[in-house]
Amino acid sequence: MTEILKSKARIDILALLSGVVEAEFQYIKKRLRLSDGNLSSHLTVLEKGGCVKITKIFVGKKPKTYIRLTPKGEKTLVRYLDELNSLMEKDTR
Amino acid sequence: MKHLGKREIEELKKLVTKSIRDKDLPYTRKVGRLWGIATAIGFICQQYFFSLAIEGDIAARFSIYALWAVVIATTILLQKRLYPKPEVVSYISRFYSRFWVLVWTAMAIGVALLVWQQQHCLIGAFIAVLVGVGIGAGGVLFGSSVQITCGIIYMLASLPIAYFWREQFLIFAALQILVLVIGPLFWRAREQ
Repeated sequence: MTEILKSKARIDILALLSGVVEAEFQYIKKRLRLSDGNLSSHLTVLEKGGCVKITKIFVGKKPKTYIRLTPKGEKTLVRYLDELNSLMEKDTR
Repeated sequence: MKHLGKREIEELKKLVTKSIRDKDLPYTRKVGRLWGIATAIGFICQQYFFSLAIEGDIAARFSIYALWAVVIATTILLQKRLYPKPEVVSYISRFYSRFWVLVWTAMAIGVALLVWQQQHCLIGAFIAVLVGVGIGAGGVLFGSSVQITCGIIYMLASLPIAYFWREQFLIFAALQILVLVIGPLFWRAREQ
């Protein structure tokens, strides 16, 4: 889990996916302003960690990659946000 | 974890709240245009059959069912072929597409009841109100004033549709075409 949350881009990907049922590679790339290679490597880490599920399909003749958050990914994000909240509460005290 | 500051956390929150309401706009517009054109053609044909039916042609009454089966099946096939999948399916857009299934079901039951009660003059008005509610609800969910306006236009149009009931489906088709024309004009003006 720590490896997954080391990068802000990966946290952003998880946060973005938490609001959607599934999203295409290009959509995430545009929304988070990441390059193809950058996004691809982050997704590989997230997939290896079991946080996202990647599906490749053909729409007409074009290959498309769809990504969705897994229950494990959801838990990881929620736990991360909880810890963040408690850290911030401590800071304000 | 401490690498995130308050600003980043706010950004993160914004990302989640925005993505929940997100939709693939170009896809939605293309699919809307396809269904708008197909149903407008359907309503023009229905007007022809309806005119024959009120003159007592029983075959024309039953032709309406076949007509809509053909229109809907063809449009579904065309949509699957031309626009198979959007770039993003947010939770709100999934909820909205399920809401439309409810609207279609209510429409089918309502129209069947009106036909059964021989209130043919109210069919077009009833459909216009339901379509207006459906489109307007989408406007509220996605925060689109253009969509809310289109929904209100449909609901208000139910009055002339009920009054000129002999041409109700022709008025409905004209309304579909009007919304198909003014919708993109509004969007284009806003994007500029």
